[in-house]
Amino acid sequence: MNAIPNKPAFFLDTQICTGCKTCIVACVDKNNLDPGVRWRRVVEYTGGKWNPLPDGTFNQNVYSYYISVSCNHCAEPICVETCPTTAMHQDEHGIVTVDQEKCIGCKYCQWACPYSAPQYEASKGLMSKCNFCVDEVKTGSAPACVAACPTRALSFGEYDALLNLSAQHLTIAPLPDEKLTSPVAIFKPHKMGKPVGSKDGQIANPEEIKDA
Amino acid sequence: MRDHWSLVLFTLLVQSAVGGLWCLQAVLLGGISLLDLPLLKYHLYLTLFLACGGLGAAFLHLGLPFNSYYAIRNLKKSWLSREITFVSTLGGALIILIILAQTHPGVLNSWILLIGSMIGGITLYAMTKVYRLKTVPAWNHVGTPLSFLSSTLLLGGLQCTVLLEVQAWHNFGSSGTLAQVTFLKVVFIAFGVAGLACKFLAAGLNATVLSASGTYPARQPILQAGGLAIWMIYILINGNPAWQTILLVLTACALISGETLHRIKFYQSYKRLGL
Repeated sequence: MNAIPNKPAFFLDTQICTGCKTCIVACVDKNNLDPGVRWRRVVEYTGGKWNPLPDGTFNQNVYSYYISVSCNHCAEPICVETCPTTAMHQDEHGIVTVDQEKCIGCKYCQWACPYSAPQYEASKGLMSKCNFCVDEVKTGSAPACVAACPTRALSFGEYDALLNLSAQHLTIAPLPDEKLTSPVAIFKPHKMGKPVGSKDGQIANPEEIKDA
Repeated sequence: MRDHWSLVLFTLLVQSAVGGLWCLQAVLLGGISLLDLPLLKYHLYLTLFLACGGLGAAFLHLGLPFNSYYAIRNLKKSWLSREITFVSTLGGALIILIILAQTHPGVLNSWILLIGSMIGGITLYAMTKVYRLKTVPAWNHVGTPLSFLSSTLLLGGLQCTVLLEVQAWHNFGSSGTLAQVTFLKVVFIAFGVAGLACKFLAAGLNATVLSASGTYPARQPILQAGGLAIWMIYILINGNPAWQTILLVLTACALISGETLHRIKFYQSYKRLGL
């Protein structure tokens, strides 16, 4: 049975993602990843401040939202373009994977990817990344991260079908401008979502999302 | 960004090799042949040594160096693949030039060397393109090629001057006439001056781009300027050979440390868009 959608994609509703990181745990467990190697990461973006008022009270506009992100299997994958060995390649469904037989561990794909998707596995000396849990998908199951998500913020399916799940699918900070690589992923924006490139907030957990 | 030491070495060594080759090209264009100055033949050995040293350093950067032959499989799209191919081609061209210089030193003229110099130029271009990533604004501007070109010219001129100084201590055969040696010194320091000019331009551009992206304050090439000043004193004061050597050692220390610090800063400025 081959249940791989024609143009597979992740969908994230950032309004209901609570940043619990169950998706990361499920991914690490399913793929038996080394410590520090995270094919999926949850970014906490936070900002705003408390403003003192003349009567001694405060009002505030603080906000925080989470974006669970893995490889977006971009339509114009910069990792595939930069990889010197052709180890990083895209199949007929649009899934970007690493052929570890060819990978030399130069990390050039990691330099280039604005989503930090390719991760360096020091124990093997080569790169690895999300492959949509293609073995699970072939049997009709969802990828491990999607299956584990307790709030159902994360979904998986055919890109065009997922587009109908949200009237809005704007990219929000701190994600990069989607014109860079044309990601095949949909992020339903949080109500406090800031536009791409906004300096209003900051990533609150940089240590958790840094490159492996 | 970790593991950048091997890349600092790789880029500086290969750029030195290209600079050295360009210097030799200028010398041959000036009408001096390998028969006039057999020392120039050894210069090709040094250039090959630098290029091979650079390639060796690049291997240290890889997670699986034994798979490195795969690195030339994406010539169609990847500038990194092209860079490795051109550096290897440069090494091959240098070996051919060395064989030619050994067997037929009179035949090796500026036209034949031009092929090697052009491969060097293409190698340098490929090296700059590797860093012109659209997702890394700190590198994706004209300051990067200018910076690489300045290293090429500065280190190329320096290594040729050092080799000329070695001639003063060790006899390689004919040491050339005074006019020839003066011409060589002027050509080499002209490379240095051009390199420093590029370096200041690059530093200005880097400062503009990097301060805009808020990464780090760009370092001015003070060490390189100091090195060039000592280099000029070395050229102008033709006195005690021991003092001449000391001045050249000081020049080399200032230029090499300045270039190394600049390149380390270059890699530290890495900051990509997005996550």
